Amino acid sequence: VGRPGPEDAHQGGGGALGQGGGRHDQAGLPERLREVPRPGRVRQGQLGRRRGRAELRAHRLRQGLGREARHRRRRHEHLNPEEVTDCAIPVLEYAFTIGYNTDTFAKAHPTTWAEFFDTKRFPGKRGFWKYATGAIFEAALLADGVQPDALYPLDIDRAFKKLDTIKDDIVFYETGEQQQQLVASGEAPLVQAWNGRIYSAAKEGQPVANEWNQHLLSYDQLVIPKGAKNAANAQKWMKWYVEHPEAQAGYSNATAYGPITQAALEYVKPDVLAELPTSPENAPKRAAIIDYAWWADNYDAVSERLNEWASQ
Amino acid sequence: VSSTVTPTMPREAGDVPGAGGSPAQARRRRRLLDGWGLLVVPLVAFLLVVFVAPLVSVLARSFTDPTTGLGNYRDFFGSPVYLDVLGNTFRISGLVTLVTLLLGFPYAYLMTLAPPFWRNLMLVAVLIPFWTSLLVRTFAWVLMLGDTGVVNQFLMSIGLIDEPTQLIRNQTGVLIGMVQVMLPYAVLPLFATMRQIDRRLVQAAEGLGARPISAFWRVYAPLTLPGVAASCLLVFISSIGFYVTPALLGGPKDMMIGELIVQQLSAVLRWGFASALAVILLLVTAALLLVVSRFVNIGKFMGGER
Repeated sequence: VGRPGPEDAHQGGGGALGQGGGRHDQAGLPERLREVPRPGRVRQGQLGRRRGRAELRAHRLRQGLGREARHRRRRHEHLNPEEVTDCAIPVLEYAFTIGYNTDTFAKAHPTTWAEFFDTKRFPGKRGFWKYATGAIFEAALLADGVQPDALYPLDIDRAFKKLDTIKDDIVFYETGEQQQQLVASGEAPLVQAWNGRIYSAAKEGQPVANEWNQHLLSYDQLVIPKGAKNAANAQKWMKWYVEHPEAQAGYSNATAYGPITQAALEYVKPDVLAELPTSPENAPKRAAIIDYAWWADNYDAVSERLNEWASQ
Repeated sequence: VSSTVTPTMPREAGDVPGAGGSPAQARRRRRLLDGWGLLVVPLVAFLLVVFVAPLVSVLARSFTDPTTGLGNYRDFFGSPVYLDVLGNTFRISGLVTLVTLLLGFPYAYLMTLAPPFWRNLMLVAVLIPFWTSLLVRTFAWVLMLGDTGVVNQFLMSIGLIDEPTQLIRNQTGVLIGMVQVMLPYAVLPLFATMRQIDRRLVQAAEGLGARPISAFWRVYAPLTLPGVAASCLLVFISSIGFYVTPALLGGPKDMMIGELIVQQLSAVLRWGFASALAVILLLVTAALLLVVSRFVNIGKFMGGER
């Protein structure tokens, strides 16, 4: 459950990524990662795919997970260095965008997080993902005037103060389906969205769209747990994936989540390209990239505060 | 008048319950263990593997993860937020139990009075939702109860309200969703009990001069108590573990413990704490059952003993 949208891209897949569809399977993934360090308990999914939070998990896994997963950097010169860590390489990019209902906001819609928080000018409920890494704090701080390059370390107190101003209009959602339903029905005509979710809803004819301005870039990563049985094979596959832009593009064409190299863009269908964070048009509109290293150290504490804040 | 045997009667007049000393019974018991008793072995083995073993590991983890000791339990009792969640869980479950009883009792009673065709129709009406996927039903409620949902649209179109009434993301939504899910669990035991009650007892009371209403309350209603207790217990215990319905229909203020456990498991990865939550829920539920069992014979109501 604990992670954003791209999940459904993998439904029915599973296989090499050790990742099935459905929320319950996802909940099982951390288990696999946690359990592996114990000898003899490696399960079939050696390749755990963490959703943009490999870094976050990494700090928990550090004791157990050695550096078998480490990749030689020279292989990755064409990957975005912001997304490569000692323990992980990116597998896709996505963005937290302003998702809006095109019927409700036919004439003008919020194009900045400040406008997203402006309930006078743009009345209606706002949907946020209920978990702390849903970029809710980043959006609140940007809305409050923090410069994008000064976002981290996040000033959580300030963010909560900003969130207080729209608290009654906030709707928390749990799943991507909920997100789509909220914005498409107009129940919450504005959501902090996962770009692929809005794309797929729009493709189905729902009155929704992504506003790309000030989007917050995020990414999913691949890691190999220490002691994985087929680690060498997994590394081979990772290498293959990184070196085959057309494969990455295939992934993007199916999900509207971005490829990890620029080279892949030429294989992406034009209508999909327009909805990718990686596209030449959208990339410059990025406000910031989520700093999962910061979140790795602060996630638990901030989560608890968010729960507390929301339940009051 | 053998059909008038009420659920409480076998204990007093039935086939020597509790008198385990009779030689015939001892013989019967031995024979059971010798042959047919072996048939339970697969079930016992199954339960050992899929229930007892995981339970033990959950219990162990609650004391050992991340460090050995009572840390997880201290965290729980040290935070008003978590205690609130536990309180919510029991409050909402209690309300659901009350509402399903208030709705289910007259419904089940009506079923006993209705002619066969209507009775079957009423039964099917209760069972159809029972056969429908929980998730589908819950999402249907989301569409029905939302600010832009069917109910609010209708009420606004007939001019009853100007602004959408908040029916979702609050306790109202959780109650509506959970009551609908739990209603069959309340109606069926009630109906099963009520259909066995001999209505001539009520007639007899009236014949002896009782007004219909007091005949109902003083003769009929007490005889339904086993059904009432069974349905309440079933509804309450099932409600405590609800996850999907409160997560989708409730707001952050209505979080129930199931949701908190999922959050701790899959979002924060605090497995030890999640285990402690599960253990606390189990213990509090067991304690409640213990208290209840002092007043009513749970085993009998649940059909566990005669």
